[in-house]
Amino acid sequence: MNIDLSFVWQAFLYGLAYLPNTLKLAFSAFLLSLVFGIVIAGIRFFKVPFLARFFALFVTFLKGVPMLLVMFVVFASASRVVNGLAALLHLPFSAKDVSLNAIGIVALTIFGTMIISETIRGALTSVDNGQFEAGFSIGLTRTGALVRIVAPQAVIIAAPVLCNNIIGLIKASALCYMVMVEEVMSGTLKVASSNYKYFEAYLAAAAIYWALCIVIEMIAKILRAKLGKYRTKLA
Amino acid sequence: MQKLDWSLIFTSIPKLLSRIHITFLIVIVATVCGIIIGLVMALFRVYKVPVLRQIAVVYASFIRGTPIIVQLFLIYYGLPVFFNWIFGVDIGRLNKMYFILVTYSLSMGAFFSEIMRSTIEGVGTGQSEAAYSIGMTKLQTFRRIVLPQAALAAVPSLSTSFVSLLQNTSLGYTIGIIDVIGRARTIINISKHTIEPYTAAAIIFVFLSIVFQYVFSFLEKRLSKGRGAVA
Repeated sequence: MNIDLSFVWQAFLYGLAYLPNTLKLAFSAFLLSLVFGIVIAGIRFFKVPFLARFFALFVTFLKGVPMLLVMFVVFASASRVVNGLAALLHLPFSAKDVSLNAIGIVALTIFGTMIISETIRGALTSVDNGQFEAGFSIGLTRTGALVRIVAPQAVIIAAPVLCNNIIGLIKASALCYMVMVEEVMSGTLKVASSNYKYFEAYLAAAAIYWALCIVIEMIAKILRAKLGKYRTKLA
Repeated sequence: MQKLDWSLIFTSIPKLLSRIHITFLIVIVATVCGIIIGLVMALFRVYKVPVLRQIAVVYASFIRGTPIIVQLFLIYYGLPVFFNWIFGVDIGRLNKMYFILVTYSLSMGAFFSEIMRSTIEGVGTGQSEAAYSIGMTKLQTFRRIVLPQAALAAVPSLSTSFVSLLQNTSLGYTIGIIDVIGRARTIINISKHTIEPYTAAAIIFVFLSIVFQYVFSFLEKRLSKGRGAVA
């Protein structure tokens, strides 16, 4: 089998140089989605009138849209939206000032908000309702019971799933290369464009993503063991 | 700036629907092959078959740890190299559809193997022991007692991976398959409107995934009907 192993290594190093940007894309999107996700999950959990229905619809809709389409639509409408906003608010910037990275992050955040809001909501609903009632019975308000009783338990359930969501975001960030964002995929492909050794380049990209995901899975495992220990001690 | 042409969304939908059979073909073949691969891999892991078990673990880890687009191109560029090496035949000119089907089947296989493994292990050992006590062989026990329970428990997770498979099929256009997305891009090239054809494609995907979710939740209800009567 004629695989140029030295070129795999070369592409690997090239891709590695773009790893910080992949991490930047995935983790900024993760933090933003976490904020939005918690807000949306909270609204749906407490059944805020109108908003709860709206976000339920929003999440169902987004669940059905392929990540690739989200990316393309954000990319295609970025200049329109940014210029429109700038004109509306009389801000001194235009679409030219927006980096491609920002487009990637927005697209990943839309995707991330959907999955993370479901994670948080799942964690909140998996805490037994009796926990709330116990909180009320000792005179806690609804917010008090949520913050002091339910949220700490929900965090334990959500933490390993959130690690999975980060893996999902990292894998989704590979699609950013389609809208010309520079990250691991585009880095490894860039070196291959001179000699057409694309198979080697994709092998290198796969190795980087795989290693990254294994590390995050290990963190998830440790989290699960650590947090789980705390849980059994309580019981 | 170009104005949005809303009517283009509605005129695109029938054109895009004309390619929907490609999406269905990928989804159905990948699901069937994926279930077979996944079940075999899960058995290797549950019954701890030496060597094969390690291969199954690495396979599942690789598929879960790499983006599907990377897998797609690895198969697309790698499979011809591999076939040339082993059998000395050139499959590089084969219909691109085959590469897509192989990729998605392997991808689904890995996810199903994880699902099936956890559901098979979730069926209590007492069930197997009960079957052994009435004289069933290991194979009979698995086929008649363990598998029906495990398969039922797998339906909800299966629905999730099925819907994500449906969305991942959209990557097929990157190697030149004219599916819904590929067709949307040809409309974009002709009309010079970008957002509207993509929106039309999104509407189709949303509609399909909602329909599939309903089908699966209906299936789940139907299948678990017999269960309540026993308990």
